[in-house]
Amino acid sequence: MTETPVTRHPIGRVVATELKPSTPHQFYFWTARESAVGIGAIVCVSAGGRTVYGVVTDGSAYSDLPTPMMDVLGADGDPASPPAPSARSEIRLYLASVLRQEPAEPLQPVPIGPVHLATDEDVALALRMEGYTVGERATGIPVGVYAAGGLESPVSLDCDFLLGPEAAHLNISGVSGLATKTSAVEFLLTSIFQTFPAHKGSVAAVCFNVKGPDLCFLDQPAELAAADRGLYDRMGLAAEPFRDVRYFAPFRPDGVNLNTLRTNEALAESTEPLVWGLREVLDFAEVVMNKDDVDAKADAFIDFLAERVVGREFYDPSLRGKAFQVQSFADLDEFFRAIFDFMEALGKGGEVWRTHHVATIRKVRNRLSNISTRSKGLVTDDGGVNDLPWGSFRDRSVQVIDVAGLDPLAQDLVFARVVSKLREHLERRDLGVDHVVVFVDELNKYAPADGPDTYVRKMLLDLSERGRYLGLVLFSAQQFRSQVQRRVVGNAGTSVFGRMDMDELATPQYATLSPATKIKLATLPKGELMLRHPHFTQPIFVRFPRPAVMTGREGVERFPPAVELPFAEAVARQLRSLDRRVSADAVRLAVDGRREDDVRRALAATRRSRPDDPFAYFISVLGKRVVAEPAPTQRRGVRAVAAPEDPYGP
Amino acid sequence: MFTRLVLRCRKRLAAAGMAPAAGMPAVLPFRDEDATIRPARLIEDAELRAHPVPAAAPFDAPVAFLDGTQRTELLGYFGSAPLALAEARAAVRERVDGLFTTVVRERQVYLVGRRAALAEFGGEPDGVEALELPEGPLHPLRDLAEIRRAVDRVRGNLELAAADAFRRQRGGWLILDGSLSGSPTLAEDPRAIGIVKSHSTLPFDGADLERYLRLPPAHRTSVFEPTPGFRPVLAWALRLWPWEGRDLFHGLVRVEVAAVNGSPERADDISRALLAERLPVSGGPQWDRLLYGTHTVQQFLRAE
Repeated sequence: MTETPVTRHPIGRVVATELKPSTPHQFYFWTARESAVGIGAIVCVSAGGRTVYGVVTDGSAYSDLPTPMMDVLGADGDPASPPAPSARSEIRLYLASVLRQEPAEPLQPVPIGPVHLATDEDVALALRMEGYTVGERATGIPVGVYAAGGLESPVSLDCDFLLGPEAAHLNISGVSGLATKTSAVEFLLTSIFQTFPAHKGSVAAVCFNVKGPDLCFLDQPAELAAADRGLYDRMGLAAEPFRDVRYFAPFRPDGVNLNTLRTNEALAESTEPLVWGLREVLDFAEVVMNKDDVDAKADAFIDFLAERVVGREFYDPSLRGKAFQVQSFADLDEFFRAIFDFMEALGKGGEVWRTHHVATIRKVRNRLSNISTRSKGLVTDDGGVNDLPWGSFRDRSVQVIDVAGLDPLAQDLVFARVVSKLREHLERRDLGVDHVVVFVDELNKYAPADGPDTYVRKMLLDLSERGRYLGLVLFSAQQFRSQVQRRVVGNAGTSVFGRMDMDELATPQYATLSPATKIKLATLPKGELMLRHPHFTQPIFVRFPRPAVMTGREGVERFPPAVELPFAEAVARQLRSLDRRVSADAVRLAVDGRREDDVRRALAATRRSRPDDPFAYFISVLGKRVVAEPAPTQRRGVRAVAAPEDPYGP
Repeated sequence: MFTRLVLRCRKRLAAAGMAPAAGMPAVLPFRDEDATIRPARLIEDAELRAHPVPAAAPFDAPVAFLDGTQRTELLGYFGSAPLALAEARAAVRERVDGLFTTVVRERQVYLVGRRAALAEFGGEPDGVEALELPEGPLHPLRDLAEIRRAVDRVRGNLELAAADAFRRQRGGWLILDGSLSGSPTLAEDPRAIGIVKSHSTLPFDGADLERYLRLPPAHRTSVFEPTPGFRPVLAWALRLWPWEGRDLFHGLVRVEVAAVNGSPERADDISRALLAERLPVSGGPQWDRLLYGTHTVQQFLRAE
């Protein structure tokens, strides 16, 4: 039988004086010296037909000592003097902020009455969880347990306010290495995947790995302590890694070794390259060019290329008299050379081609080739593309894109294109799933509070303001929330805080928190978080278990990254990831003496096609070996004409 | 609660045609204690001496503290005769492992005045007893002083009742704020100690008085009998705090015990325990003579 407040042993009593009155939003209460109350504890008061739930936000203690000097006198100035036989009368006074009142109307000051620690039922009522965690269409997503006063009471977020449509997005702040931001998101994704309501459809996740091996082993199980397993059980969750994870990583500049720490052969099957070509980049040229680069003229020329040249057959009689098929950066470069050849041939007056000035054309060429250079490994010259499975995302799948090793410009490009594509497909409802959670770490880099307005920042702002209607949800993390664009974090319906930096807590954004809550945040241990969620009228503290996936460090130890291989060996490794029967020696022989570009092209084609016999397909695409012919003997110079006698010669 | 009762009684008094008052008149003289010398009989030593007390050591058994309070509110006048409502409280708080709990509490409320005024008021409210002043020529200020004395006596009786109630439950040490000689039971209680802070009545004169009042800190005087032939209590003065640079009476208390505790050895034992009870410092204007345990009883009584 549930214990009612009146039958439970009270741990305190509400007090109200003129200087410290009770209001509808907060109240004071005192406890015995020894009690289970602390900052963040949930308590309830029942008196006069009302029940009030509150969360403790501050506390103080004082005795009947009139002045510190009296204590000094009593001890004769000696701190080591024997203690007094009597303990001073002392009060432990706490301030609690109201979470909920029953009945809700009329809203009145908290009545004077006994105070009890919350039970599981009280926690559910205090946090208004009874409205979304029970019933056929429950939308609760467990996020941790409220652990105070001996309780471990599951706390759930409302899916309608976490993943839309009522509200959406989650932002997590905290000190690097101590706030466990990544672990919290990993755990929350696990919880979402296991408890996402069936009536809301399907959900998948796209994660950007921005540093080290943090997210590189989400499909590998972790060793969990009994206490963590207990928390999973308490929340009704299974402690297991993600079942359906695919990894995408760009190549290193050599084009065959993957630029990621997840290169161990045992994991090769679920790790594939992320490779884009000209078409993919051109659509997002704006991302990687700033406003100073792209004036109206350059913009017009880029549009011309995108609409009329790239991916089409383009013919202009002025350009070598032949049609151009521009599919790759190499083709584009050839196209530019043809334009410059034409202009040089015109000589003076040859500064404009099809209304585009040569300076504009040169600028665009330089910027685009700069993209190609700085994104080497991600962007190929040969037109090969390997991309996320647009249109066929699976329910409960995770796509991890490892951008940790990329140039910042390339990272921006990846981010912009992936999120834009997600949005595009969700708008058309042809992504394969109904909801996508996008996890981005280091949000301060992509949406800084100050600095020029970039494409990425605008895109994130748009995502945060309108994404929830499409099912596109942003889970973001950063060390300092104050360094992120305010509207982006402000639109996050749920905010999470791990251990925080004291200087950060001193910024105005945290002014609504009591000093005691800030101190608690500054000293929060790993595995504890403070949550703000639309249903919770006050932030509350929860504990969450270690994620059931291998950490980056553990993963690198268990699955050491493969060493960067020479070209031929790297190609062999790529082919063996498609078919383990492929012989490394055979591959070495096949590529020996071949142009690297040709080999890369053949490899890309093999990966795209996924044939039954990858090696045979690779050989067929590579084509016959062209034996090098000896170069024709060079003509000797024309013999000099015999010079007449020169009276003035040497 | 007492304040609400005062308000209700004033309304009733007004309804009965009497003149309500707002409070005690400012012209009322303060507590009337005559400053006097009442010679005591020395039990220890031929002449009064100062004995050093061994190092402070707390009681090794539970110890309780007793004190009482009183409050008087003038309700109004029947003609010129004042009518007052008085509340007396007493409590005993016992210390175990450093922490105090209240083990006895007593309370009484009285309607105090001349018979005619009481009759005119029309009967005591529930829970209130009548306390009649003696008849005689009427002077409102004298009557008010008489009311205060009467309430003093009531309080004193209540404290004795609280002591009896405690003793029925517990056998431990009981420290009273005041003299033991007011009660025959307490005067013979081997575990009762009276701490007298007031020095209106001094037990010596002449050179002995000077030695008495210049007692050094952490010293006691010779044991003496303060009221020869009246009550068999024995006493000594004990200096709790250094007085130099302050007043002669600073930190000076008179300790009263049953005769069985009057030996020099017992006096030393009890004195060193009382020295330990100086701490923690109680605070307030009487902090130098008010033991913390007694202070907690006063805090409790004020809070109720």
